[in-house]
Amino acid sequence: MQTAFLFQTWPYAAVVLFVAGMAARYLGMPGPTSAQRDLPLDARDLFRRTALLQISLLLLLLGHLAGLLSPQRVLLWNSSPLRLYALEILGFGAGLSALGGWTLLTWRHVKQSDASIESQAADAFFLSLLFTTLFSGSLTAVLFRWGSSWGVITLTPYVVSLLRGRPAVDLVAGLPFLVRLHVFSAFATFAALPATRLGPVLIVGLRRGLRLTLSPVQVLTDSASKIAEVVARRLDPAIWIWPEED
Amino acid sequence: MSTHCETTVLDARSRVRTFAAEASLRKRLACVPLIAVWIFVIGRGPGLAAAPAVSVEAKAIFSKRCTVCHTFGKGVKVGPDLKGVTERRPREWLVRFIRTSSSVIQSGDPTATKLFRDFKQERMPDWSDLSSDQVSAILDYFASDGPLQKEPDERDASTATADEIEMGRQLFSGVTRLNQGGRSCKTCHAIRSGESAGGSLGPDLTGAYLKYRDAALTDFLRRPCIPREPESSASGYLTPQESFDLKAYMAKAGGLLIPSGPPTAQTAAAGQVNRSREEKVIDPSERAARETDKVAAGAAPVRPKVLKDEGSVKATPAASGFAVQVGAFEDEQKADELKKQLEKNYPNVTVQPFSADKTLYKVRIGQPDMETANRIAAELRKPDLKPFIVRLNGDD
Repeated sequence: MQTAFLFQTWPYAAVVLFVAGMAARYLGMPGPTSAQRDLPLDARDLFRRTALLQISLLLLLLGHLAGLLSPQRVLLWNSSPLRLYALEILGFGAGLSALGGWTLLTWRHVKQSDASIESQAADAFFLSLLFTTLFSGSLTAVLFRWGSSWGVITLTPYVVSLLRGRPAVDLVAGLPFLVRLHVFSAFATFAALPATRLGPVLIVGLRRGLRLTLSPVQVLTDSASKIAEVVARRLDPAIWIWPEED
Repeated sequence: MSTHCETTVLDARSRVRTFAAEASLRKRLACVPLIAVWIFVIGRGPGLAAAPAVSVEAKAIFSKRCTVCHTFGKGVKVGPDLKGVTERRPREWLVRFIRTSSSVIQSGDPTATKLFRDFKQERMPDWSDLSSDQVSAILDYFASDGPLQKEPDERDASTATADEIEMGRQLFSGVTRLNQGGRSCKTCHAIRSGESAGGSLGPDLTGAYLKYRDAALTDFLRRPCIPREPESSASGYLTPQESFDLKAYMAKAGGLLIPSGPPTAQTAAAGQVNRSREEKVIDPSERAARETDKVAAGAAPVRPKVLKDEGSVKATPAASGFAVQVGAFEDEQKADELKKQLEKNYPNVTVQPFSADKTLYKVRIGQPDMETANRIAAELRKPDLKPFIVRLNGDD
């Protein structure tokens, strides 16, 4: 029952919470662009100079994504002991530096207390979950060697089963407590993200990213509509019936 | 006037376009699920292993469904002995009876009615979920005396050749890939043999052979230790030969002395599995029992208890060198009885307690050299007794 909730229901609940939270933050954001720009400034103040945490988290995220997207390549890479050691050391190093970055960020949170109680509480909750995720992940790397190898035969199929909508709970239920804690807290961290002051930053970032990504499409649709306008204007019978007067 | 109109129209169009862009942006957020779909498509994980051989499936079905009520060549259990059934009955009748025995009996079929009467009116379940091909495969399996065939992994590890042990090492470390696409043991386990370290998600397997012993380890190797892909999706994750090679490598790593070279007729004969020995000698720990499905519902937990102080243990005459281990018993009295029998023919027979999850009493014959130990082991080897050689260190 508990396992079913933690690894069958909770991942989907976390995604729903994340989407609902983001939607709520998006709808709650005040109107025009200037105010939208102001909101994240608060977060920018708080999260500036956290390059260590950001780079470490990015590295960890990319490592996890590699295991998810290309498990065979990861296994092939790990088939050489030296490459395996390098990958594990890199992963563990990234985990440690992320924990270092987390410490700096938390210290800034403790010192800076000009935000609302709600914001501070949400940030503290998020940071606690982030710590749990990072700490359990780093400890897993120490206590259960070669996570990059066994992870892609247990955790990757589990995540794929989640995406398929048929969670294979067995794949994760038999793993040690620390690994299960890591999985659970990762989803919890994801769910809590919109409630923090990072939520609006994420929305603005997402919007900019989408604009950037979709800009070629935008150019194409604009050009198509211009061409359609010209063609429509030429074929408009009104021009022949009522020619424009000079 | 015309210019003014055009400007107004353009302003209006620009505003409309801004709103349209905002609306389309929101709509395009729907693209996000596409990323998830992409991850799903790209990250399907390791490919599934090839479909298992038909006989493997037939064997699995036989073990799971038939053996509850039938034997193969061992007489009547609940239902008739299935040996020779394909010669006694027409194939079409067998297919029909296996899938819908109730209907066949109700139809008044004379053979089915007689069977029903002879076997205390116990009705066989209708295995209607089995396809005709599956039933056909089971019948082929019976026709070839499949249940009587021993798999290579049922050989005793002491009969392994040097090549098989080396292959086991290569399979363990992943140098040679497993036939059905499974991951090497080293992904999660280590063996202390001076090579590059294995993973530590699972336990160190250096002493696994000595802990679980041959038959229990054979059973254990027939299924993946933890659910994982692709092994959990495939009906088999090791071929019987791979299983044997790995067992032999673990036995070697655990200190079991295995004579090198091809198996002789004697060792090959000794390699035949005998379950009666397992019943007498193998006492798996609770964990081993659970992992090999030896614990049934209602089994009482065992509390390990020290039966004798270390001080009262009889001293080992050979503190180093080799020993032929003839048996291991939970019951010290049985160990003493075997010791008395052996002492009639051999010197240096000892009973040594071994405390792990339970206390076991190992009956050993100490020997200074391996040749003598091998000779004694060969002399003692019988269908119900399979001695093996261990290297002694100071602790033994």
